[in-house]
Amino acid sequence: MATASETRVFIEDYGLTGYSILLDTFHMDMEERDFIQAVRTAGTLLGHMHMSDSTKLVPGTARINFQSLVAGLRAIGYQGWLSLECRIERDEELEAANGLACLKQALGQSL
Amino acid sequence: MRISSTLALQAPFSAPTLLRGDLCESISRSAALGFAGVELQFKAETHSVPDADKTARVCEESNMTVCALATGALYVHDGLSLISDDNLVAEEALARLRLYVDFASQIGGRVIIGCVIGCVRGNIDTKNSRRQYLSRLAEGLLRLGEYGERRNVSFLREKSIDTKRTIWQQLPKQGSLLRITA
Repeated sequence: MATASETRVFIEDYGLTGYSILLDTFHMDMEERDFIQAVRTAGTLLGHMHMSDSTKLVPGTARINFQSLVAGLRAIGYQGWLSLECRIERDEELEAANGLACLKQALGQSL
Repeated sequence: MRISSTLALQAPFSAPTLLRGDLCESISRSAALGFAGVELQFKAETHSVPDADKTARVCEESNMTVCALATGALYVHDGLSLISDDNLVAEEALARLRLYVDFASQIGGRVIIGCVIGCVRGNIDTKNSRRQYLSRLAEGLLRLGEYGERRNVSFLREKSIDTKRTIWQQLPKQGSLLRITA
C-alpha cells in the first residue's frame, strides 16, 4: 500500500470504518505520479496531511509546489490539518517558522 | 485548513519532528510560533503515557488543538508490528496502540497508524502471501477500530512506502548518477 489508490482500496475492501487516509508529501513525491490525482483519489477519505519538501526538510527548501497542492486540496473540499512533519537541519524554531510561513503563503494567509 | 507542528519528547535530528523536549513546553512554543495545533510523537507504554490533564490544560491556555498522535515509535524503538508472524508481538502492538486511543479519548486527536504496521523482509511476492498479510493487518485494524469507536476516537491510515518499488522507480530519474562498476 504505497499509493493513495491502494490505501483507499484497502480501507474500503475491508470495511475499515473509523479510518481515514493520511498522505505525506515526501512519500507522495516518491510514489505518486501526480500529487493532485492522488489527492483526488483519496477524496472524502483524506483525513490528514504530512507536509515536508522533497528532501523531508521544511516546505520551501526544495522542489514541491505547495501552492498547487493546496489548490488541489481545496478542490476536493479538504478542511483538515496540514502537519509539518519535517527533519530539522540546524535551528528548530527558525526552520519551523520558515516552513509555517511557506504553508501560510500557499494558503493565502497573512504571515 | 489549519497548520500544526510535530513534537517529540525525544528524537534524533534525523527524525521528522519540528520541536523536541518536554511536550507541554513545546505546545507553548508552537503557539508562540503561530501554529494552530500540534501532532504529538511519543512511545506509549503501560506506565509511561504523557499526562493528559496537564497536556489538556496547556492546550487550553495556549488555544492549541492536538490534531494527531503518532505511533511509529512502537515499531522504530520496540519492533512492534501489527503484521508480525509472532502473534505475541502483534498482540503487544495492539495493546500499546490502545494506550494512544485512551490518551486521545481524553485529549482529542486521531491516532496515526503508519509504520507500526511493520514490514516483511524476504519473499512475500506471491498473491497468497500478500493477501495473508493484508488480512492479518485488516483484522488488527478492525479490532482497534472497535476499541476506538467505543471511545469516540478515529484513526489515520498513513500510506507506507514500498521501498523496493520506490528504488526501482527512482532509478530512471537518477540514471545519470547511476554507475555500476565491476
